[in-house]
Amino acid sequence: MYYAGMIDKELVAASTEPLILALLARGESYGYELIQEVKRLSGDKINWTDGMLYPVLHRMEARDLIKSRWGESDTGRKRKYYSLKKQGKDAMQKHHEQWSLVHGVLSGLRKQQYV
Amino acid sequence: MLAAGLKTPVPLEELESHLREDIARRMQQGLTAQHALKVAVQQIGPANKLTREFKKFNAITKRKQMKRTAGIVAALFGTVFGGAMVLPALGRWRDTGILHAGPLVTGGAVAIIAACAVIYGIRKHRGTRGKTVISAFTILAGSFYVTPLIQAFFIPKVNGTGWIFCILLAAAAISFYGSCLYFIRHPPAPAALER
Repeated sequence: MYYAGMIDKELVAASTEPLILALLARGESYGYELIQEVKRLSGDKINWTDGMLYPVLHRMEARDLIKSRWGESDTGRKRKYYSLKKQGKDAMQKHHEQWSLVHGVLSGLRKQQYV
Repeated sequence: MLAAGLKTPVPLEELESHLREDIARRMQQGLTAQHALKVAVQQIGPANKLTREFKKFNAITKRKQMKRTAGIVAALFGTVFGGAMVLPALGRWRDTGILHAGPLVTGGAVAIIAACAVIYGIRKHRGTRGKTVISAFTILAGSFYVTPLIQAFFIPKVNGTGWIFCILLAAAAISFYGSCLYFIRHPPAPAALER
């Protein structure tokens, strides 16, 4: 589903939903922009295959986490914009807590190795 | 995209918009139109993989819609079940003068809760699947409440109160189930649902 430079494929797949939610929490966005943004923020290490992002977005929309609307870009090109719904915000919070916990445990264990 | 083997259920319009965006960006970076198209198509991925992903998604949606349809049909049955408890209790009250509050209250509550569930379910149900089934069950449920009025024409000695009750019951049923049919055919816009 993804081409991940240095990050494990399974980890990239698991992080897709929280990343989309976090990106949309900053404001509405569209597929292409989401891909470019995650690529930029990860320093080209997470590179979602374009076409594969849309099933995930549609699934999230069906689960009422996000909503979509058709709009136009400055150049008049049609774009489908996605934005976060209340349930999406709650899901993002949950993801954040879980990922923070995993990160905390990993950091703690790593520190112990160097003591 | 159709030529590349991408058919429904893949949202072609959205992918086309994406492809155009990608091509434009690559051309801005100095690629020729032909090269930009080639790279952008490669980036989208193979058609069969994409179709498979969307089929998976559609199967989930279909299951969800089936569950929702089953829920609405069950709620419609609930409105009839509630009525089937209330109407005989009212009949016995008229014939014997003894009011059995138990079935009256329980049936009334069941019918009201089920009616609310029907309206909620139909308002939330935006899918195209199951509309015919829900419409058929709505008509059937509505006809249950109209039946006493039809029966009244064949029963001699129905008094004025009886006629008024049958007419009011039929009118209420027609307006409620008629509204349900309207909402099935004209689902609200997604934005209206969120409020």
